[in-house]
Amino acid sequence: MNKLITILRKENFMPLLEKAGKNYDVYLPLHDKKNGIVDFCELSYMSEDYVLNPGEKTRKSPKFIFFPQTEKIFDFEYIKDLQKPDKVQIKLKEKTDSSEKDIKKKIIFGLKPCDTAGIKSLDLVFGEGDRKDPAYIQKRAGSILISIGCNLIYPDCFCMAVGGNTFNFEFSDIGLADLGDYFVILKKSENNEVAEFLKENWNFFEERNLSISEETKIKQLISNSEEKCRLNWKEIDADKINIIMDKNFNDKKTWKEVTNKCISCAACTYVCPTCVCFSIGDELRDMDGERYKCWDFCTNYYYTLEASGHNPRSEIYQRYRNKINCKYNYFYKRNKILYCVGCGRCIDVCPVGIDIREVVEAFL
Amino acid sequence: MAEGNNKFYQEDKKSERKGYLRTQIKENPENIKQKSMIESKLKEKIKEKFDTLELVIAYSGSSKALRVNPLFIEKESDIDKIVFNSLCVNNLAAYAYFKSREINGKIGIVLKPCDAKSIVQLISEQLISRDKIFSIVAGCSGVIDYKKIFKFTGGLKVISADTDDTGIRLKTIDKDYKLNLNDFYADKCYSCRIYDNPVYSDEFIENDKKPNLESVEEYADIEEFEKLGLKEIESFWKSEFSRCIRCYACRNICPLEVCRDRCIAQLESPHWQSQKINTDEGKFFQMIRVFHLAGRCTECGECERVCPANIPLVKLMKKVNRDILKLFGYRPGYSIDEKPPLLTFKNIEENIREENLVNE
Repeated sequence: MNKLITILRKENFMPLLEKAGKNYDVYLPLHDKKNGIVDFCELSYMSEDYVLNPGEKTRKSPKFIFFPQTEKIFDFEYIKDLQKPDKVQIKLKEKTDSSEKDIKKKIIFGLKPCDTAGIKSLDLVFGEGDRKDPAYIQKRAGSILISIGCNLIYPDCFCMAVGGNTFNFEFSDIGLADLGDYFVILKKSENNEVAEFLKENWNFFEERNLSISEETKIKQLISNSEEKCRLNWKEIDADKINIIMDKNFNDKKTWKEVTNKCISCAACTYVCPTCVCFSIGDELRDMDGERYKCWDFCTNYYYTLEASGHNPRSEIYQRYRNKINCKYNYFYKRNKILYCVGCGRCIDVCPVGIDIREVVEAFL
Repeated sequence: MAEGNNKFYQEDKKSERKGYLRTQIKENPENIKQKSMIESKLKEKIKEKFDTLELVIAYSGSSKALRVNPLFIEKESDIDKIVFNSLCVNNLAAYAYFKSREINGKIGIVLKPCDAKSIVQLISEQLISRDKIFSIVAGCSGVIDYKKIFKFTGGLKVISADTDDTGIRLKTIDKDYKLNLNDFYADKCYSCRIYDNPVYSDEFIENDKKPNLESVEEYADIEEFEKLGLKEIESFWKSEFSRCIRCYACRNICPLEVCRDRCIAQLESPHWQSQKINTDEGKFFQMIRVFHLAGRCTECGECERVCPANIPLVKLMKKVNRDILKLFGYRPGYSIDEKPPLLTFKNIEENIREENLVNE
């Protein structure tokens, strides 16, 4: 029996995004020709300095789209009472009307399956459970995640080792396979947003029967990329790794050995698709103030510095140990998935060449 | 640590790791001879001195193509892991200050002649004591800046690299490249004068291979850049710093910025700098760095190498350093005994005339 598939030709691709750009905020991975960095940019960046190569891995993860590096929480104001000069009152201003950007629905095109797994992890932290972050939910609501299966497996990619897959579309709304001249839609979510999006832009898509050669080609792509990815690291047993991490928590010698070269910067955490730590600060100008949150990182000396001056994690190995345990132990205990999605960005970006695979392997 | 019933342990680790350790650099036989010459001399020297040293910091191979990793040697058997080749771009002096505070004994550090300048500066500022660091300086034939190569390939993609005298053959995940080696040396190598003549060393190992580069005037790029108008310069930095994520890698890798856990940019009280992350704050943080390093920076280029956003930070450092050179005739990192001009004062500075300042 013939299977009906939907395809999107590559020449229809940019017109589709441009049309969608009127109703949505569109993000796509653009390759900056000047400095060689690939990053998720808004559609308006599209110019001769940038090229779009679908399937390229970005330097930074897409988490900043839903969880910006700096975000205002609210404004406040100090009010002095002339009758009681020693008392200062604080007046909270209503959260300034959400900017148009926050409300506009988002389309992120060109995510890798590991990126969507990262966004799923963010959902678990900010969007589900009994504590929810309204700012995150507002940005995340109604967004459409369009991911492409990985034809290109980077030397650092190891999603297969941590329970992912190179063509895993579980967490994406639309999943595509790149067949050269056109994309084939392998997965469509059943929700309203996707249906609406496809209906609005149906003239860019084509529906036809899946040919046998196409079917084998897709199968070939999937098995090829899986095979390559498997080479990059062996599979981690998620049920056991947290026990191993617990057991080795006090193995100071090994932890010191593997983190000897760490310089405790934030490069790995800031590019990580799942690191969610933030700090909250107030900023004052005269009598007006602003409370904001911005990214923080657990390898930071100030992260655990207490007001008394005591720092429970004063040494680098303690802080790095927390980072690894967060990924392979603590989060798994809460949510039953590993917090490392295997994108390998931290390996690429580390100034001193720390490889998270080698660190974990030291305890296996 | 190993446990018999766990499936991880039963497998042969070596064969498992082969998969992702497939990125080691291969060189042609002649290069290997050259390389192993300096490398084996280095190993011999370290073996000879190992008893007097508590820790040796050197280079080892990496799981990533075109990269080397810092290696911390506490056991003598680890000495065999040492590599020394044209990929050793890291400045290991970055660890000198913190490790010398952590460890009581003497620390041996493998340095290139340019890296030795950082040690000189640290000693001249009395940040480390001379008898705690044993600097093993190896002659250098120029180092390859892997970031320049990554600009071609779009970062991350390189699987393996073969070098020979004419160039590098790169195998990336989607294309193969053949690149001319001479275009990819680190910027500092083109104006290097001390590759076989270090300003300071406890032990110097000569390298038979010499750099074969077209030399460039020391501050030529800065002078070129200054010819741009102020507006252009401003918009240039604005676009560069729009990418800054304030990861502090530039600060933490710097051998001379020993303040990383006491940085005024991160203090809560007094709250000197906002913790917000945007173009202006990134620029402001960098200005703090520039002034902290004025007349101290040895231009090793580590900040620019580690920047995940590829911001050309050395340009800023070089500009200030050139001005210091003009004003005080001082080059950081060249003398242990000379006092850095900004750490002291003279009643009368030869090149700063007060009446000139007023007129301006």
